[in-house]
Amino acid sequence: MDTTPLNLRRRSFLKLSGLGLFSLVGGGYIAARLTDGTAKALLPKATNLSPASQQMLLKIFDAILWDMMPKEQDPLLLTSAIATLDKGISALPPAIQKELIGLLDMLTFAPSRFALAGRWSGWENASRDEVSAWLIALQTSSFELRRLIYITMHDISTSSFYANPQTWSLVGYNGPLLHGPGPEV
Amino acid sequence: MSIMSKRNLLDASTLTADRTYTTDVVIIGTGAGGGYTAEVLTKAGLKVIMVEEGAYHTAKTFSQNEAEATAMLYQQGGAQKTKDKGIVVLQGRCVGGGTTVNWTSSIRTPANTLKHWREHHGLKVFSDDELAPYFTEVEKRLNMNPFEEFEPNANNSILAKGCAALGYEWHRINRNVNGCANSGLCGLGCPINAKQSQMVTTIPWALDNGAMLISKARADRLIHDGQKISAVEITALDTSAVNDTNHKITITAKHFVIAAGAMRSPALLMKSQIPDPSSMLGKRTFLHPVIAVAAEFEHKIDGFYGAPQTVNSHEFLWPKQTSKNPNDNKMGFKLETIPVTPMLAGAFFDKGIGKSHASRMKSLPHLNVIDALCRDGFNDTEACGTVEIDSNGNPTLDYPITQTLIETARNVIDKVFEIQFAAGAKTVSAWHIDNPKFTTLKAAKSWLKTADLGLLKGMYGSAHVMGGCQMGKDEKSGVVDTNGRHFTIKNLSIHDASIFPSSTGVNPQLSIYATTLRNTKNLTKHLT
Repeated sequence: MDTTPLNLRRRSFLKLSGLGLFSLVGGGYIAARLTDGTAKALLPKATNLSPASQQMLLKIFDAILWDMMPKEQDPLLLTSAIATLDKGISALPPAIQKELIGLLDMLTFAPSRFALAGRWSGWENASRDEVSAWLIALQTSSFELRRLIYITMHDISTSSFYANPQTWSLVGYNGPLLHGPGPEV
Repeated sequence: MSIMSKRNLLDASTLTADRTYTTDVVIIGTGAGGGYTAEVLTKAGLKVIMVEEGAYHTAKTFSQNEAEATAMLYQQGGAQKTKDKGIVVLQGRCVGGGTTVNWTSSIRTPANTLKHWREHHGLKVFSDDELAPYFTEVEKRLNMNPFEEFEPNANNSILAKGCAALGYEWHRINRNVNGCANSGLCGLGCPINAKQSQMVTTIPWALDNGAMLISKARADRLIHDGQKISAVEITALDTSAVNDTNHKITITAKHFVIAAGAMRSPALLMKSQIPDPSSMLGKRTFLHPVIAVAAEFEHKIDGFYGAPQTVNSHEFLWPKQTSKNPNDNKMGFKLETIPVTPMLAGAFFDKGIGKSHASRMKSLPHLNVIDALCRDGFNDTEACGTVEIDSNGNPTLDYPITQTLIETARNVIDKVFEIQFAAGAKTVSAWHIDNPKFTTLKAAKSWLKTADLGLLKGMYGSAHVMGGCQMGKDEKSGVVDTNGRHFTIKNLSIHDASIFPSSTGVNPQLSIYATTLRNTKNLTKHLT
């Protein structure tokens, strides 16, 4: 059976993506050694996320989720989502863990942060509007790699946020109708 | 005493030394193919060992929290994607495999699919009647029946209402449940064992009758001499079932059944350098690409409650391919619904931030989501997928977003927009990175006409991986014969969706069960 040749644009992307992600991962490991060591940890016992990544994710999660949060719980719900992500990374296959942590490290390392986010100064100084504008620029970018970063940031923030049962009432969900444990068969 | 303590179970993460076992048949994978195979072979008096990469979770350990359950029960914690990240691919990774986490839709292989297998792949044995006795036997064993205990939930009723308003065909779906409470979170593992998955039916039966099950154990290599396999080498995983330990398990057997799903079955054969005279191994993988459309309604839907899939429409499943222009030959598709839970809606469907995200999520109880399963693998203009082994030794799937898929998606979205507005929708939204939302059919169609639905613009998913070890009439046209037996390696069978020469066009669990039952009965004649 005949198969359609893949279009050149996609093949180019695969190369770019492969190279791009490889650079991100490889660069991430270098970056991890050079990122701002003064960043303050949000999570007392993080397994996977560096303090600099935690601080950056706080800004990104806030830009994505701010309108979902009751004001009095803002910091707690976001910190809880970051903790969920930190734990969730351990459940991913090692290769995907490496890819994701590498990406986060690249976004916190000044030279690559500038290349990917246009920021020389650290994330702790970024306003919600600035982070939102960066995310929208990624979302609407003509480069697949940038859209992939957007989708990754969006999906890790929202999946971690809605993992917390405390967020369910915010979306009108009263939780599961059945609760375990059930019987073994 | 726990029922589990009487069974021959090995959690490989507990090993402190390497192990070796000898048995009649080893089965790699415990999903629809592996579970059923274990029961039939055990019943025939054969010694069976099942090997599962994931953990052995049951109703005792399932979580009704989406994030926890996906990490426990799904491949790559639910994060599995195609090579270019264009398609999210959900697959079970636990005892029972996909049958533990599916939404229970139980549909026979369509006659048109079997006709295609006969006419385009030379598989003449698959007459309309060939699988009928096996369908009947499986339906009885797994309680696949019309779901009459409850009416369809509002999410499903919208599909029925929209189709009825436009004169489109729709019908209720048979489900494999017994005592279903209609709670709706089938995808997280049934907490009351109502879903008649392999995890609560064939696997416990096989275990209670002498079979052994090794969990948290990944089959890495089949040892063979080019004609016969002597053993399978297995790596024990750690307690999280994520990382390798230093311990190995070697199982020697008379016969080897691979049922690891349509990515990992071909990958195991590829890594083992199993002879591939047809050059078809790992080629022609199908995904039933999923295209989804959300709509907001004035009234409450609560699409997170109630059986997830009870209504579907086959109105567009078998369109006529009339054009000579390959890009005009779109795939047929069936329409069904997706449960509207916080994580599926918030992370899987929605792609907005700030007010855009919150506006959708705050309307969650009013959201309906209809999706299409696209019938891939029937059309010469499709690239289909190719299984590859990445630099880490893991299987990955290259499945390009072709023009055929893009135009199929455009057609799907167009039809679903019409159905949702016909059912009374206030707004409709395609699954797209731009998170578009429209209040009129005219505006929605106008956007759709020129919308970029290409890679990482349009969003695509899959919950059904098929192909890659396809059946052929001879060793030049397929990896296995019509009994699932490998053409070259005589003591190797494949019992899962990877043997299908096209997608099934409908939710495939019953097709896997029926072909597995048929092929296992035939295999039993050779082994006993």
